[in-house]
Parts: sequence; C-alpha cells; structure tokens
Amino acid sequence: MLTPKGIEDLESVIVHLKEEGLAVIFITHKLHEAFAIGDCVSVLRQGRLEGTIDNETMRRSTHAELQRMVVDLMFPGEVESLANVAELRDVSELAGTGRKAKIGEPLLELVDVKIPGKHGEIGIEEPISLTVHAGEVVGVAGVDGNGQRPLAEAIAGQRHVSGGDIRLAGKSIRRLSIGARQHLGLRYVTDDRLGEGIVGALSVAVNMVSKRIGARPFWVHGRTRSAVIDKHAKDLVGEYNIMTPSTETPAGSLSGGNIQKVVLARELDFDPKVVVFNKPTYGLDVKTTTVVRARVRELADTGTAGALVISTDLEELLVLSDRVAVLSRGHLMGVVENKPGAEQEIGALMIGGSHGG
Amino acid sequence: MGDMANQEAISAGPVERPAAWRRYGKEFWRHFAPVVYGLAAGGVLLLILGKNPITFYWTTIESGLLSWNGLMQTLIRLAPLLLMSAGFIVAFQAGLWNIGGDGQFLMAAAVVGGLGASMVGAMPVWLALVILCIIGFVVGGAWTIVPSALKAYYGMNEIITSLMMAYLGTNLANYLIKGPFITDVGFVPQTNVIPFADLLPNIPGTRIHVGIIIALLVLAVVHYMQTRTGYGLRLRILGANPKAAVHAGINVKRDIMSSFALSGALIGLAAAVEVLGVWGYVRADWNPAFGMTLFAIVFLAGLNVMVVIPFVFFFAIIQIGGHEAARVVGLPNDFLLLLVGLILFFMVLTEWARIKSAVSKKLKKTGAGSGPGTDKAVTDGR
Amino acid sequence: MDAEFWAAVIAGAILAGMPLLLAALGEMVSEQAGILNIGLEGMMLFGAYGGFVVANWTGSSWLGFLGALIAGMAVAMLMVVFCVRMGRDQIVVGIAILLSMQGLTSLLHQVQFGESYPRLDGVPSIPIPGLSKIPVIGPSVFDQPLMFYIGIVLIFVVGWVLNKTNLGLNIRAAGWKPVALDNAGVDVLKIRTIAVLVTGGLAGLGGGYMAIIAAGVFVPFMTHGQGFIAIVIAMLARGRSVWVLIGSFLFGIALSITTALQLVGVQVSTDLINMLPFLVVILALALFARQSYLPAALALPFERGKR
Repeated sequence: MLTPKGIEDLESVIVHLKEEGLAVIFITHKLHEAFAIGDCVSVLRQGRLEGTIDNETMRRSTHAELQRMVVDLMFPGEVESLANVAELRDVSELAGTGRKAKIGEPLLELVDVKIPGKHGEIGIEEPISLTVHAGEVVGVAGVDGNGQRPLAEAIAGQRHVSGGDIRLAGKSIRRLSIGARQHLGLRYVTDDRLGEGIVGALSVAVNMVSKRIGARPFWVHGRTRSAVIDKHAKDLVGEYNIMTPSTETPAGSLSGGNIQKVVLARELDFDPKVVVFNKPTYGLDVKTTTVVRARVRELADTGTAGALVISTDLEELLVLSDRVAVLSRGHLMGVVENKPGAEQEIGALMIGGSHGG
Repeated sequence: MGDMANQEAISAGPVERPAAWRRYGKEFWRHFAPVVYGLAAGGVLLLILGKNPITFYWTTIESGLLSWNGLMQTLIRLAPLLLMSAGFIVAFQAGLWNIGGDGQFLMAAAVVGGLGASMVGAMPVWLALVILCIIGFVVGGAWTIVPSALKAYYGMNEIITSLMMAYLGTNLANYLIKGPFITDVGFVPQTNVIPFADLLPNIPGTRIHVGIIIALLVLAVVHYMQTRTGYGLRLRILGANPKAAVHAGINVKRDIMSSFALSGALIGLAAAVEVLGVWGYVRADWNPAFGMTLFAIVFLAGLNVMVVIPFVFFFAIIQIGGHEAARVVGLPNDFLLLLVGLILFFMVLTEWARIKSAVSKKLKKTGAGSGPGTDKAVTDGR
Repeated sequence: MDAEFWAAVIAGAILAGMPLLLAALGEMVSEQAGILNIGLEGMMLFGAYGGFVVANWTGSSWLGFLGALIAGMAVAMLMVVFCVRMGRDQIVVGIAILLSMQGLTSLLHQVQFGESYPRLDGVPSIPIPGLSKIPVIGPSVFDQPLMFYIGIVLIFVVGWVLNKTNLGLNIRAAGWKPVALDNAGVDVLKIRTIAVLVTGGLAGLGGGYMAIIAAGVFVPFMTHGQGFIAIVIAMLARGRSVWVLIGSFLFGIALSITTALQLVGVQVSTDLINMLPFLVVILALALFARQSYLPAALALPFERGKR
C-alpha cells in the first residue's frame, strides 16, 4: 500500500530515473497515479491497446478531462454511471465517507492474539486486540506482507494462534475447526482466489456450495441433490450478475472479477455474522470493485453482521470502514476513527512503523 | 496435479456443443487415440526387430479374445485388474499417489492364502469366503496406514512412503508364506491349498468365477460414491486443490486417511478375489506386479471408473493373448511393458497437443473478438 | 564374527552401494532443480544395458561406462522433452519411462543375447598403496576398480557444484523459487534441462556399474527397485551429498549382509533382512521428516508468466 507520502516518494524516484536517461513503464490500475507519474498514458483492455493519450494532450488537459478520456477508453459509453467511483476521486475527499453511526454488540473479538509466521513470513509478533461490532466495518491497513494473511487465516481457523483468544459473539472459537467456525457464521473471503478460494476444475455451481458439503438442503444423508445445487447456483448467478456461460462451467475459466463474485456469493449466503475480507478488490476492474464494495457495506448496514476488511488500498478503507487499524511489521500501530483527515493519521502510523526495524 | 486441474478447466471450456454422438465419438477417440499410436509404434519396433507385427497383434487378439478359452481367461483376469484399478482411482482422484499397490496386494494375498484352507474347513464355505474377502479388504487397507498417517499429519510425500511399504509388504508376505503359513506341499514354499471345489463359485455355464461380478458391483458403488455423494466431492476437491479443501473447512486429515485406506482395501480385495477365485493358495515369490502397468491404464481412462472398464478389458486381452503372441514370434513377455510405456508416452503427447490447440483456438477467438463484453474469460483479472 | 565376515560385508556393501550412490547423487540434482524423477530406475536400467553392450562390443570397460553415461542421458532426454519443455505430469512420465525401459531392455537383450549369454571380463582393481594394507578395511575398501574412486570424487564434485557455484545456486533456485530465478533473467527450463541430463548421466553410470563391475552381465530387470531406493536416499539427503554417501552404503550393507551371514554359516530369513533398510527409512521419515523438506516447486512444471 502506498500512502500519499509514499506516492510522492515514488514519483521523485521516477523523476530521478528519467533524469538519468531511463525510460520508465509504470503499470497501475489507479488513475491518479497514472496521471501523477506518467508523461503519457495508454489503456489496455482485454489484451488490446485501446488508446493512448500522448504527451501533448496530457500537458494541455485538466485532470477532469483526462479522467473522462481514460474512463471512456476503459468503459466505452459508461462514463456517467462511473462518476462517483472511489478510484476516480482524491483520497482526501474520501476520508470519513465510510463511517456510519449505528454500532451494535461486539461480534468478533481478538484478545491478545499472537500468530506465528510461516517460513520467514511476518506473523502477528506482538499480542493484538481488536473488536468488530455488529453493523461495523473495521479496516486493516498496511503494506502487503506485514501480518495480514496470518491474521485473516488465524481468524478463519486455517492457522494456529500461539497466544490469546478469539471470540465470536462472546464464545471462544480458538479451538474450533475451520468448518465449525463457518457453521457459527464466520466467513473468510480469501485474497488467494485461484489458489484456495475456488477449485478451478469444478463447476461454478459446485464452487458455490463447496463450504457446505454434506449439509442440507444440498445433501441428504450424504447423497448429492444436483437439482437443488443447480437452482441455488442459478439464483446466485442472477443476484450477483455473474457472467458465466452456465452454472456448469468450470469456475477457473471465468474472469477474475466473476470468480470473485462467485466467492462473494458463497461467503455472504446463509446469514454470515462476521466476514473477513482479505484484499477483496485486488486486481479487479473498477466496475466489479464498486459492486464488491457495495456488498461489503450492505452486509454491515443490516446491523446484524460485522466485517473486517484487510486491504492495501487506502481509498477502499476510507470509503468502507468505520475504523481503520494499522498493521506494520506484525504490530498493531493503532486504530483510527474514520473521519476527515484520517488518511493523514493512517499514513503517519504506517510510516512510524516502518522506522521500527 | 494442480496442473491437471487446470488443463481440465481449459479443455472443458464451453466453446461449442456438437451433436451428442459426435461428442461421445470425440471423447472416445480422445481416450483411445494414444492406444492406437502406441500399438503402431510398437509395430514399427517389431518390424525393425525383424518380427511380423501383424502376426503378433493377430495372435494376441485370437488367443486373448476370439478363442473361447482365451476369452474366459481374459474375463477371469478382469476381476483383480478392475478392483485394483478402482483402488488406484479412489486414491488418485483424491490426489494421493498410492504407488504401493503391489505391497497391499501381496500382503492381502498372503494372509488370505495363509488362512484360507483352515477357515474353509472350519465353517460353511460361503461364510469362509465372505470373511476371507473381508480379511483381504482389511489387510490391504491396513497396509496404507503408515503412508497415509505420515501424509496427513506431517505432509510427508506419500510416493516414497507407500513405495517403502510396498517393498516391506513384498518381503513380509514372503516371510509369512515361508514361515508361519508354510506347508509341506510342493517344491516351492507355499501356503495350504483350498480345495478346488471350495473356491469362489463360477458363473453358471462358464468357468469364470464370480469375481468379475463382485468387481463390477464395486465399480458401480465407487462410481456412485464419486459422482453422487458429498464424500466423493470432498475427495475431488482434495485432489484438484488441497489448499481449497483446507479453506473450505474439509477435514483433510480424515479424508486423506479414509481414501488412502479405501484404495488399499480395494486392492486387498482384488488379491482376495484372485487367490480365492483362481489359485486357492499363494506361493513364495509370487508377484503378478499389476501395479505399475495398471497405473498407466488408469491414467488413460482419465481416472474415470466407467471409462476404465473397456481399457482394463483391452489390457487383459493383451496380458492373456500377448503372452501367447510373444511366444509365437519369439519375444520376451516384457514386450508388453514397452507397449504400455509407449501408449503412456502417446497419451502425454496427445494431451499436450490438445491443450496447445485449445489455447491457440482461444487466442484466435479473442483476437477476432467482437466489441466489448464478449468472452472475458481467461484474459483478464489474473 | 571374524575379520573375513566383516571384509565380506564391507566389500559387498560397496559393490551394492556404488550404483545406488551414483543414481541417488543424480536424483538429488534433479530434485533440487524441482524435477521428481520417478523414471530413475528406467535410466539406470538403460544405462546398465548400454554399458554392457558397449563394453561387450569394444572389450573396454571405459567405453562401456561412456556408453552407460550416454544411454542414461538419452533416456533423460525423454524427461526433458515431456516434463521440462512440455510441462507434463512428472509422475506419469516417470512411470512411462520405467515401463518402457523395462520392456525395451528385456526385448533388446533377448534379441541380441538370447542364445549367447556373454560375460564381461572382470575389471582390474587398483590398490591404494599403504591404505590397502590395513586389515579388514584395506582390501575391502582401498582395493577397488578406478570407477569406484571416481564415484567417490563425484560426490564431492556434485556437492561443491551445488553449494559453491553459480550453476548450483541456479539449480537450487529452479527447485525452490523458479519464479524468482526467471525474474533474475535465468532460463529456468535450461537449468532444469541441465539438471535432468546430469541425473540421467549419473543414473546411467550407476546402472553401468551394476552391469560392468558388479555383475559382469546384463540381466533384464537387474536394477530390481534400486532406482526407487536411490530416490529415497536423495530425498533423505536433502541436497547434501555426504548423506548420499552414507545412505547408499547403509543400504548397501543391508543388501549384502544376508550373503555375508550365509557365508559364515548363520541362517536367517532373507526376507526379514531385506525388510531392514525399508524399515529404517520409514522410521527415519517418521521421526525426523517434517514438511519443509523437499524443494517447494518439486514435481511442478514451470511455465513463464503462470503462477
């Protein structure tokens, strides 16, 4: 994750490289980064070059004009409907937008949790405590690889904690299996969609029930009820607007965005209590990103569920969260209320952490 | 194996839907083409060696399929081969490389052979036969516990451990036959002999014992398990993507242990059926070594229990008829191993060619793609 | 148990251990590079056959070993084409190699030598001055054919290359983090190709040692599962070549001790003795083996740009 300060630093490095006579190709899905760093901008879509804004035009046009041009190249004819997407706005405008007032009972409580890292990866090195309430979205900010995955996996039950306790709706789930935690309403939207989120060779329909194998109504006495599974899949495909030739299509052949929708449909089904989202919009296009974020906020706004959103994308956290926790090198640097100016506070906490070691 | 899953995803992509008969024809050819290429290559090799390939192949078919006696032998041989294939498929589908099939087979055979005669003498024959089949099933399954536990709890590579257990089993089986189970019958150490009349009954009107019926029933059950039950789906997920299995909350340790044990148990049952249906005793150093070659067959059949039946039938013909054919043209029996190896190479090759063409088709399609929103698959979002 | 017994055990262990050592050394290289070579047995077998044919034809054991080396590498080319270049399943290809080499060598042997059954002359051994005079150990260890000494030197050469050279670093990177190696601008497939060819060559030499020195004949199926034992030794050695040396000779002892016991008149069940090495391996694996043990990318094909 790059803080506003980090982007400035990167910019100066690239300017320096340019002065040395190097040519730089900078690939990003963030428009303002492209405008800030690039002298000219090209748009790629589905493996084809959609167009290039040359140096001359870049210099002449205003920010808003450039934005319109690029969005038009990316999504022909949809500029109007995308006007308010977070990607297209400045970070400082976004701070505080995610905040909602109504907060309920604590649902997920981490109490002095310590999590070992695997194979030299950074774990949660120092006991952390964090609570997610009903109706609340808690963001976790930090540069990738600073303990986010251990945190998510420990909550989901995919990894052991070496100390502390994890509670769901007041009951300790520390010793429960992954399946038992799911049963209690804990869900995990993994950031490794293709690696563990879906089974690419199996159908969309099967992937949508892969966390409920053996359970009614899809299985009765161990027997698969294909018709029920298929009906369920068709409903979700419609509800989430998933682009797939059929529910029997192998999930691995869908596009990244549609795979994420399959995962999301599966995890948000059957009354979740707490959902852990790990980089939920990573690598997705602007449109799918909007859909996913809306789902996250909707979930919390029901008032009966909470969400923990781990993200490396500051805008995402600012539009979604009520509070943002900052992780750095496996330490919890602090928790920031999402209000105007929060982006500065988060940035400061992240930088404070990077000086630690 | 993740790669296997990936290929499925690409090749199974919904491109177009030809008529049903063409689809089945294509599917059949997909599985059978490597066999044709392999046999052709084997024929060329025979020519180089100065042997007549037509004589060889014709004798194979004649004495393995077209003669009454040969056909019966082929069908008798089908029983253990089918059961063993089912055993391999159960493990492979769950992503477990049970390479130790021969050890599981021989251990079960030794115990069934060793206990057979005395059990048949001590109780009603049908009951003894049923119990002996169960014993074979249990011994074969038990022989997988070490590799599967090491795999489930320590993530130890099961190829190595199951292979070690195979060598252990081969030697232990021999020790049992030469030690506790030995009799003074015959020149080679062997177990007591079950009277011919007390072996598995024949299918009326033939000399084929009921083993093949048992095998077909077991295959039907395994097929049902794989395609219609939650357990079967759990194993498929485990095999296609173990990380996804963990993520989905599947009890991976339990499923590894149970599927590995089921695999060994079916192989043990194969041994029991072979001993109780054909031999009535087990000799020291007897090792039909079906394991490695059946491996190849099971892969040719794409780990599909139903597709494996014609392949095993074909293989049994080659085993029975090829024996005679090798004698006629003056070649060692081991030529069959070379044939199976060649077929396997051609399988790998045709699979590769298929994936290549599927990918290039896809590229062509997106290259000529029309407007936005068409065929987003594969190209974006990775 | 007298000196004669121990001399027989040690000499037997060396005779049985050398093929294992060479093959296991080769397997270790390809495993480090991320290729699990199940077809090792097939490479050994074809090496044994090739070595025997050339040695028999030319009358030179050195040319025989050259033949064994080339034969092993030729079989390894199959692995290179199918697994490294085409990225196909290594286990399936390995089994295809095993079966076809078993069949092919048996077939060729029958066609060529079915009636004559030639034997090779013994290979002269070279006593090391001084050392060969040590009682028991001297004549059994320090009075060996030159190929034995070369094999021992190879252990250290391979160990040095793997751990101390750039090529060795690249090989290990190809097994542990092929993506990183690719990003560093090194051709992963080329490195893996080299590793597999080295494996084939060494396995071929191991087979050649069996046929030319240990047996003096070629017999179909003469490797008798030793290729698989070599795979296990390589896995247990975890990339450290000294452990290949130790492992091979421990297995060698287990393989030769029955004969030695019979030599001094002790009757034990060969079957039980034969179980020993496998029992030891299983125990060793159960006690010491843990997950992070084999190269991370072992048995996974590498394709650029695919994660």
